[in-house]
Amino acid sequence: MRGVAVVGIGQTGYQTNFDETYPELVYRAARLTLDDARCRLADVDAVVMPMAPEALSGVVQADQWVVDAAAAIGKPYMRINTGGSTGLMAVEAAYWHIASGLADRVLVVGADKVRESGSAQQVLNMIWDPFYERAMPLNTITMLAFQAVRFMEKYGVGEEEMARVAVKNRLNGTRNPMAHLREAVTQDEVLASRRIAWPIKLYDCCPQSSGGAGVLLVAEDCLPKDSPKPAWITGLGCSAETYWMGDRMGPAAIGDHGEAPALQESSLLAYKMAGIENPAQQIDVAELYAPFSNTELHAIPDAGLCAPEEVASRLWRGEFDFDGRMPVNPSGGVMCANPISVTALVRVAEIALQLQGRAGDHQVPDVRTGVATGNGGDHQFFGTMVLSNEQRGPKI
Amino acid sequence: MSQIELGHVVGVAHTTWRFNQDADTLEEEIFHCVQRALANAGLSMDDVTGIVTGSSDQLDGRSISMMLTSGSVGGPGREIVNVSSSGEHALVLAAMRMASGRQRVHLVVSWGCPSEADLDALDVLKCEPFFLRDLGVGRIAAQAMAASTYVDRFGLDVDMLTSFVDSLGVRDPSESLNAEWLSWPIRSIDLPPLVNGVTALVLGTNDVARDLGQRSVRIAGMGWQSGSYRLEDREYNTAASGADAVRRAMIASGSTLEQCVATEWHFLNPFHAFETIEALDLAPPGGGATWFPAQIAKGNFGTSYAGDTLFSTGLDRVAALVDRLIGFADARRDGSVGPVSGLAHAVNGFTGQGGTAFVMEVSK
Repeated sequence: MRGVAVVGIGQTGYQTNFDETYPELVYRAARLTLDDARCRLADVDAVVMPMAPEALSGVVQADQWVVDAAAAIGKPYMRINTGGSTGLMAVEAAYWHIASGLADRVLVVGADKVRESGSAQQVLNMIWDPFYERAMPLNTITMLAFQAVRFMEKYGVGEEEMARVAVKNRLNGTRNPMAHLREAVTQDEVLASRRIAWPIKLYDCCPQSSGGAGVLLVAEDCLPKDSPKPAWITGLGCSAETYWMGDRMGPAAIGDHGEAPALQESSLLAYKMAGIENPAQQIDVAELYAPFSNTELHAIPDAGLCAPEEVASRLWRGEFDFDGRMPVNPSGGVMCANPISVTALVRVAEIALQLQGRAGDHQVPDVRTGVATGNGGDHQFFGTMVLSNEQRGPKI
Repeated sequence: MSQIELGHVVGVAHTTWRFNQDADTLEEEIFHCVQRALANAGLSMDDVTGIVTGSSDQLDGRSISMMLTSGSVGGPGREIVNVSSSGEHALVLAAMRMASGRQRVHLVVSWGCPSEADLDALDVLKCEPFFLRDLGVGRIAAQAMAASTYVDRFGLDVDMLTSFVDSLGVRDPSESLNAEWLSWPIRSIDLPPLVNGVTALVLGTNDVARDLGQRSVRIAGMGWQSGSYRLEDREYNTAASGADAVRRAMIASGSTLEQCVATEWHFLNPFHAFETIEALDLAPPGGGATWFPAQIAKGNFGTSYAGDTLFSTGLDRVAALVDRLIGFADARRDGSVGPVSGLAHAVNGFTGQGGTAFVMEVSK
């Protein structure tokens, strides 16, 4: 199968809102990406757009509105929608365009303006079924508060560990000029911050962000002249949990809401494809989709980077810090910027930047292999992507 | 012939149920349709390795529709992804996954459930907020703008043109007499009937298709592309992307339209039908209506006038083509064994903004 690499990366930076319209943000992200790749628009074969949920933008099927801005007129175009994991799934869809031989260069570009919706959590309440869960009322924060409680009970971690994750990521965000939140917080400040849904407090949460991002994927035999060093996609996988959170709890559960079996499965698929047998040893850096501090605590072991019983002790030893043995979210991660439609795409982009040696102040030294993950729905749709600075034949 | 193996359709099921009819829930309809497609293939869910769904959140009334419906298609524990640009794009993505060698048996499912949506509200919310929304240029008004441009361009008789719908024989011509004008030159009778529906296809590799030992329909080529959102930038043409997609699919398959023994078309209204045929050079400019009588007489084509779900109609055209090609091959009495090809055409986006086409081939 053909090798596929990320070569161009564009990010507008992330903040609460922009004066630019939604198409203008998408256009800027597309322009930045193509310029970065030294690729002409005419040389792009297809465009894939991540967008979810579209209700946040206030325009039904807004992807149709931004086809022009995404440089997709007259080109094959499709939109991927799997909730928060959409950005990574869109990169995966673009990968199949090239791996199948149907395209040589595919642009993945999108944007989000979460604050346009007024209350994102009101929109997100409507992801649940109208008969049982919508009325509770669930939103993504209360859903993940349940997750936190279960993980805390099962593995003996607590609010102190959650706060430690927040402190780490917010410090990392100070080094990333694209991050929405760029101020460090202390352990005490996190623990004293306003309670949102116990045990999640304000500083355990991601911000509501706006911004655009894109990546250009290119076949091994079609790399643009003078483009940045390729970051090869060597493994990918996705999997899903049951929709019903009740089915992830209790003695008859088919999953465990405290963890993410589907992330374990997607990661196994990706590692197998990449020929990675021991991710804890072979992965140099990780960008894990974790919008709340507690979700990073389960994502690290679910991505195979340590055993779940070890995550707290390794966290306190600083192993996941920027200068630790296994830096997790050196960009600050989702806790420092969450423009939902492109958040998981940014995870891939950040790993690519690390592999290309272009991550600036948050560059981790000697990165050869990295992993990015995405998570969407009600902790339901997971994707994992392994990237390397060495081209290896993927094992399908 | 395409060198890229996009997979074989080894199982198919599609179901429509009309508005305001007591029926199963959407999740139940999807589940039953998927089970029927698997049974049609002689396979079970245990054989499925990958799934692509196509869903529209707003039509289904949920912020992320595929969350709930994922279970109905067997999503948990499988490599599942969802597209929301159009139902037939689910087949495009699945075929690319098949071509890459990642999947052995792949499920493709899409649906549309317009009875559950406030279509007038969606019409407004689908318009971008700066120009079109204030003007109220929704689905039907936009089609009417394009249709009136077509009529004016060629100085055509609207009553003559819209009799096309009657000629399809999908409803009683007497209904046309009192059909209300929705937005000139489009009357209620000109639009395909809205239906709720689910379509499921099972794709298999060459090996799977061979091992099953029954007729399967190979995806010989496919094409898809988008045009501008802005009708004025398309000179009010609604057919160009669909026609370009057909050309892409034909090139990919190495076939020609003339070689297709069956065709399935996704038409928004009669004027869009005529423009599509003209864009493919099957009829002269302004003469699209003249192409249809002979085709209708041959009985080798179908259209979205069988029912339009507003989202999965394109994939439903593919399913209808699969049925038609297998029926054609089964009924062949002349002793020939060569492949027969057919075309499925679909449009998506804002008033014909995007187009998709598949050339399918059955042989035995």
